[in-house]
Amino acid sequence: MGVSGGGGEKMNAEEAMKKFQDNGYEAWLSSRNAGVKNRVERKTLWVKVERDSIREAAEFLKNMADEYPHFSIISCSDEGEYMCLNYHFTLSYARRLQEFIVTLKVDVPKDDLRIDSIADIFPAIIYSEREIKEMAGVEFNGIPDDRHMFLTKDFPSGVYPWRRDETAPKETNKLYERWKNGA
Amino acid sequence: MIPKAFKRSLWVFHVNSGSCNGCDIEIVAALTPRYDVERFGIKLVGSPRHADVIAFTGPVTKDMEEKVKRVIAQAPEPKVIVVVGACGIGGGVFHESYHLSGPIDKLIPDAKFFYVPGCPPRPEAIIQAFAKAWEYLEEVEKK
Amino acid sequence: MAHEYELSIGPIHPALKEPIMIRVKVEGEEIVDVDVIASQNHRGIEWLGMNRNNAIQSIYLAERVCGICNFCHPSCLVMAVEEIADIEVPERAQYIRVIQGELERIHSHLLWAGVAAHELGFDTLLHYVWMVREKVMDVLELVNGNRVTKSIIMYGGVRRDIKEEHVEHIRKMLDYYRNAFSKLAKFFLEDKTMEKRTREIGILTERDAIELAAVGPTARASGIKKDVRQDFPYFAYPDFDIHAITPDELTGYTVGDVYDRIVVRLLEVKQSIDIIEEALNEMPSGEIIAEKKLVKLMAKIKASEGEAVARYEAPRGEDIHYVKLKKGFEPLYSWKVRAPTYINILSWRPMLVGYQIADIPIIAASIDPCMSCTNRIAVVKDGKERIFTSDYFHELSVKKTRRLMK
Repeated sequence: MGVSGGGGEKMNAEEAMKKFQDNGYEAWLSSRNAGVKNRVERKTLWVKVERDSIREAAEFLKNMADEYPHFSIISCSDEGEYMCLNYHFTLSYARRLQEFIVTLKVDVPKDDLRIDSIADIFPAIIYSEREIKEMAGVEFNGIPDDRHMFLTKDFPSGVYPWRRDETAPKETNKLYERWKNGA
Repeated sequence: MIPKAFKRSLWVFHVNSGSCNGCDIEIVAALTPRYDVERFGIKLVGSPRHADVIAFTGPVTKDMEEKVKRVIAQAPEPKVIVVVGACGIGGGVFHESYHLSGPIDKLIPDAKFFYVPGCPPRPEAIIQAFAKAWEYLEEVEKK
Repeated sequence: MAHEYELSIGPIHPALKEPIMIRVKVEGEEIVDVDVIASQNHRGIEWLGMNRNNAIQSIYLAERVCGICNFCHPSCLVMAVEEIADIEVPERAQYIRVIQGELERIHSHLLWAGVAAHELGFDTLLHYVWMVREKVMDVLELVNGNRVTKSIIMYGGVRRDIKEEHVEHIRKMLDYYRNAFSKLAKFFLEDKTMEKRTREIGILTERDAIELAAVGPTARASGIKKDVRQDFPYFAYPDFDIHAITPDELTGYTVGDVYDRIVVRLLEVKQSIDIIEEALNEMPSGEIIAEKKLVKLMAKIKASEGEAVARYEAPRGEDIHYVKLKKGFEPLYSWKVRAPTYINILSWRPMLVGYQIADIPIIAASIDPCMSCTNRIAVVKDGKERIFTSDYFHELSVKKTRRLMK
């Protein structure tokens, strides 16, 4: 596995999709055009991953790619019954027009908000896991460092800013509210 | 801009309490050759203990509340604070955030405040606020 | 007997949305471990954006993620929403966006160059670079009406056109920078002091850069030819022949140190000048926004459903936003912002370990986290805390420069 660069064509999004599908993952592509005179298509590959198999999926992604997958971020979305975590990676980078996004989508049910940490597979993921833990309340099994990332140490527990249920912050800036009421 | 000569230079300590950096770069822009406040003797210093005026930016995040109070407590009397930017004055675009304790004039009630509205304000406006603060300090000294 | 001390740098440190406190363990002068604490500047922007009245209001919030790169964050958000709502952007608007983005890159890189010079105690250079920078600020003000926060981008286009009378001023600015460039390159790359303080300092190997997912000039200075404008282009960038700049283009080899990061940023200023020139020549005429009526635009966004990821090459590196919209739901349903410094601060550890305390300012600044502002430093010794100011660190850095010059 080369570190980066290297000659020749790299894996494209269709090939990556096929590899995921051959291994029993549900995968689909979305695309968007860019450019004015030179129209190009930019692709995003979405892969559905079961919560218990996130580690296998991460290992699979790492081994199938020509180069080390570039980790971007974990984003998250409140879907009512479950939290949907999106692990965004990019592949085939450092090549003109060849890069594409790979997003692993994982649903974590709200009655059991835990998932395995993959910080040992991709070391760059650690800040993001810490952030998801405090912002969405998802526990990561085996996370090497579980301190708060962006919230203060004394931030009330059980309040998760990225949720859209009763745990979302209700109490906003108190001083501002007082100021608004003319006190 | 200022009618007569001042007795001494105005030293400024800059505190950022979680602003977006827009005001901070305009403060630096005011120091550098185009606006060049150093020609009036206005100078950024590295410690609040040396400062005549505190240039304050940002809406005061929860984490910074304690630190901001400590920094301002170190500044000598009379405490003069120039609040640069809309978010320092009333929270600005961040006003209802769950992670704010500001605005600063509610946290430090016994200081003299000068406000520079704008997001971010122009360097000229920032310089004018410092001139006003300077005049105030001279008046206090006369008494 | 070796004593281990802990130094805390920060917390007044407003990098993008997170001002950072770096806790450095030192043994004598040598750094042995680095930890980053980043809660001081958290303003809850994502939460605010998800709870605003509508998606258009969130653009102005995205601008205030960072005051320096206040075009890249709204661009990223706008691109993601345009993808979901299937809004086609007029051709002229795509070119104007490219020009705006490159103007921002010039001002941001020059800002950084000044800060880097200041961290080394070379204040004359700071003042010179910031004087040069005012030229692009004038153009930004002329075109946008404000120096810093521009509010230029909107879903489906831009809000202000680049008019014929602006073009003349932009061309004059480009000529000015072409002339200034050789002088800047001489100061930064040929000066003996600069070289001594930056060569072989804060090395980030290619392996580390890849594993820690470094982005932007930080990654390119370590030899990774990675640039979103080249790999995954957006706006009108596919029309331009953009290549990722690595330091070996100028020096012939790549070390991955602070010097290389300076080389990359300087070359990128030159690249931006060429892109703006080409964009001005090739700019098509026509509309600048797809939907002028905001009410109609809001209705369209409200009726859209889906999710999208948008990426943008900000001056500091790859910026990425994830957006999810729900039908009948007016604000953004989910929004995640990933600023380039978020991921680049991971690289501080391999960069700092093994170097001296006096190198901290320039190494930390070399990833461009806006270290320009006030830092407060506490030295923890036997549980007692002594507080020093950033000047103390700055002084150490200046002293080292003087020592090297003897």
